[in-house]
Amino acid sequence: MAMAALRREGRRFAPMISPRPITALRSSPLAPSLEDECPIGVRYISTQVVRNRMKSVKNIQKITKAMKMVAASKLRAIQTKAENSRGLWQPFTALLGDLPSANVKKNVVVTISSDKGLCGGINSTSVKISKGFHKLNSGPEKETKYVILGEKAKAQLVRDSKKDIELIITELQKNPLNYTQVSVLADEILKNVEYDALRIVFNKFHSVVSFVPTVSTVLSPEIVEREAESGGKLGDLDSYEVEGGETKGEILQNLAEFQFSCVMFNAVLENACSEQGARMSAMDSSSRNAGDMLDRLTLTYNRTRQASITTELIEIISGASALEG
Amino acid sequence: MFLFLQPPLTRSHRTVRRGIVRRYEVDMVIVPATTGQMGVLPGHVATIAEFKPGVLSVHEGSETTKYFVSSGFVFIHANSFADIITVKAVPLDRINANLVQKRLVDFTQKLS
Repeated sequence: MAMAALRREGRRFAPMISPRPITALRSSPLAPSLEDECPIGVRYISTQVVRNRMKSVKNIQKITKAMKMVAASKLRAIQTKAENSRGLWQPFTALLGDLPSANVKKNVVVTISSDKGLCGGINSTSVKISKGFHKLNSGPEKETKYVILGEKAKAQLVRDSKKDIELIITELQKNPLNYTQVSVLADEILKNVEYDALRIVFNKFHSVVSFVPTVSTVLSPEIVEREAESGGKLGDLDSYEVEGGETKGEILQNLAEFQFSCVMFNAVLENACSEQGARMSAMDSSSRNAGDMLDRLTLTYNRTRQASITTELIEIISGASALEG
Repeated sequence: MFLFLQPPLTRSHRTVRRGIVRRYEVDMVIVPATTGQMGVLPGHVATIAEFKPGVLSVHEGSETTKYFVSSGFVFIHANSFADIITVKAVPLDRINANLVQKRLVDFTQKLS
């Protein structure tokens, strides 16, 4: 009857009491013991569920830590390359300027993103900016097309802007990034897409914790001429004599293409660095969260374990006292 | 390759491959432009020139350093700064003549 009382007590509170006091010390786990999972009639205090969760959370923590280390080493490898490539587009900008405000009819937005996920929010910010550009530049006589590099941007942009996508390129990082690959890419884009201005959207790598979404503008030669004539930043362009057997237009065309490939090369490298950096910080916060969760689960586990031992003891003692009395 | 030329000419070299940024003051640069060898001195008129693959030579006083450059552009600014941008720049002493000849034969065969 003491058992019956305890049983009643047990039913009112969540953990059920085992009817086998002799096996108390082994605390055999059989049925789920969490509040909402207790089926009626089963009376065990079980730490199995908590233990399973702890095991899986610990594994997740190990995996995310490993991913962080891998991302750190990959970052080191491409960071030097990215910093070296920064010098490439600087002379172009010094000469031709970077005019994000150029008002043109045919805009092409080149969105650079990663192929793999788990890298934080960098791809979403790139897509957001690309979409913003699209909205800004849509209207009568103006149109914006997308060229997408990377799976993640493709997934996001295909959903609502499918008709505006000109070209999709994925698996860029299968081989280590180099200029030849990027120049072939640039060639493809220039051949297939009509443009007045190319806006390259990428994440610029400032440091391991800061990646700034950036837009680089490359103007087509006609627009460059137009801007040069109207004065302003490009006004000095006319003062440059153009050496060469070909006409000025052809040289400017070659220049624009070379500028585009240099800017693309830098953009792709910077984005790759930002991806690795973002992955590092995402995995780091993930392992920290896993650690916190593990602590909380350990507390729950210990409490459950101690409660079950206590109830087993109570049963034994009450059983013993019932026998005596 | 990105060169700055400043009176006396300063240059910074930048390549696509290595991003070597070297800024130095030089007396003259000879650039293999599409119209032929072009000499650039301080005070050169502002120019944009494309160049074909060839030998770039940098004259610093009595020293001359020669590089083989693949195609690229040179911007000469009015303030005697020059930017040379190429895909590849290799100092001539690193080029092995025999290897180059052999490769040339190989590639010509492959093309034909």
